[in-house]
Amino acid sequence: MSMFGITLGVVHGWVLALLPLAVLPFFRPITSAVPYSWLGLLPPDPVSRWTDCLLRAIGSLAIISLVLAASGLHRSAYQVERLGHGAHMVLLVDRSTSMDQPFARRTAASATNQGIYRPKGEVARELLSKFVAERRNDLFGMVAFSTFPIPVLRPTDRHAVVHASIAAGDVGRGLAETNIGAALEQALDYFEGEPYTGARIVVLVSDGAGEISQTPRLRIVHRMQRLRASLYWIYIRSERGPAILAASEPGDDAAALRMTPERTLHTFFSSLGSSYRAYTAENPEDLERAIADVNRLQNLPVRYLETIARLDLTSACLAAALAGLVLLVGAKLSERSAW
Amino acid sequence: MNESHGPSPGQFPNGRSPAPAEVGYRLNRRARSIRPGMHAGTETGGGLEPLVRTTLLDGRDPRRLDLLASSRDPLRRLLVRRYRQRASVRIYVVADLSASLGFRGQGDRIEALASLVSALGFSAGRAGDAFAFIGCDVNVRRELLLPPTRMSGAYLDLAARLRDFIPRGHGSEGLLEAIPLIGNRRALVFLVSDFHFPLALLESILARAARHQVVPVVLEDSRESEPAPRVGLVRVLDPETGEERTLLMRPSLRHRLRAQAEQRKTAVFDCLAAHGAPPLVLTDRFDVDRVNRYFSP
Repeated sequence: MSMFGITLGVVHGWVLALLPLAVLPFFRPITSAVPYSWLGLLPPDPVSRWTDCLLRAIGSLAIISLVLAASGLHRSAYQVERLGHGAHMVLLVDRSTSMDQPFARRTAASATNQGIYRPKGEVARELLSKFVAERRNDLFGMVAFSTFPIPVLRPTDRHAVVHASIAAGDVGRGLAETNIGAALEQALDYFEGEPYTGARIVVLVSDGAGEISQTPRLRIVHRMQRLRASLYWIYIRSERGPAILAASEPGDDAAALRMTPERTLHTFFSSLGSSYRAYTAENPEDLERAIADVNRLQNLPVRYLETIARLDLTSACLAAALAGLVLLVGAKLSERSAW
Repeated sequence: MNESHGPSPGQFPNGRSPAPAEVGYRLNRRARSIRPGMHAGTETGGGLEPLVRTTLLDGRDPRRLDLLASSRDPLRRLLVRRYRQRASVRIYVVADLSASLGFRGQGDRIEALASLVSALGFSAGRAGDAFAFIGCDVNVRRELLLPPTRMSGAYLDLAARLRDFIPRGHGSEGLLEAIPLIGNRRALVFLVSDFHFPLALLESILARAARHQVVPVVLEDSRESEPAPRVGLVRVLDPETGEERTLLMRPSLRHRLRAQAEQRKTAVFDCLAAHGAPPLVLTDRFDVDRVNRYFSP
């Protein structure tokens, strides 16, 4: 049965054959009859009449609800066409062990305020929540990663889901390694085959303690160019980690770079050109800058189909039937068996 | 020791009194019957009510010779007194046996009717009047018909059958048919009913019975307009029409119910009074004192 674009379905169709039972309350009321001499003696009473009608209707609805519940009423899954505006972003969240380690404190004052120990992961989630909350019209996807990428969420505009996914990162401790290369490729997979209707941004939230070998590097560079995707790195600095944004010192050599994989990564990302931006988490202004940067990108309206999950209405039917039956029992208890 | 040795005096074991109470009913007009009885009649004959003096030739009864009047008569005629004879009358109980009589409230209307029949039948026998019973619902109930009879004790069987009778009729229209069965001679008609039928029907019944002295016996029940004060749902069933109504009983409805019943009672009584038949109201049960008070001048 379809109404207002919502399709209702039942599991056991034959149970619906019992629906005509709903007329029963109109033939047999719940109260038992008390003989009286002459109805002409009784004054007309609209309240009684309406009460009677109401009780019969309630009985009828209770029967209908029970039959529908027995038939397994549900709203079928359906697809709605949604129109989104804004960038397509994939949040790439680091879930490696290093993210459980303390976050770099900015000042001594903030250290006393915020407590002694804040894991980087918590800081990252906080930042991401803020970021998502600021960008209402964007589509967000999510990939968590450590040794392997874990696809979490395809890009969607339902921010409640996005927030829930971010919050879900709180569970448990991080895994062993950090494989940024595979994660980036998994994030780019989300853009693969989709029409280009808005800026494509991979927001990497990581402390960058990982390396990408040569072959994935080439593949990443190639795919990012082909998909016209940008990479924003929100850098979560470790307590004693290097500041990646500091100008590279002239004395840097290959050996020094190998000691600090963060800087290696930054150097590689910088080779992507204008499609790469880096922000540091300890700077609140950096987050605003990141949001502003996304604003500047040109976005086209994006049209996509979203599947609304099937909704089981059995409990609702049973609740309605229970409410009706409780009312009827109350009415029955108030019944007088004699004049 | 408060031991009871059988039933109390004046009571049968089944609780019914051995001899029904006697009702002193009275006619509002002289009975035109040649049959001697207990009521003031129009016929002359053996009686104690002097009517006129007439000559022996007219009177033809030397036993009633009035010597004092004869001695004073200037024409020297022999005068005899003529007396009015006490006459008998036919007592009819025309009872409504429609299903509404089956309502059991404070009392039992059928029981009250049976008691009334017993009392009237017994009293009619004592007074030498013929007693008859016509029960009706939609039609006249033939099986309960008792034609005018002076057979003593005829009422006993009738009363017993009435007590076993369960009224199921769907109306009181049979009362209209019952009135012609009474015949032309003026009779004392006890019209027993709860009067729960349209006033138009009552009007036509009374109009048909205008020839007779009608005593409308209203079988009232005090519970009818005074339901139990508990708040709640009650579904009432009209036994005559089979119609049902659900009432949400509450104080305001009780008040309106009482007012409506009172209004209905007034309307019925006005209609009865307009036909010169003041009602005899029996509430919940047969009360011989009420009946006697009704007939007392």
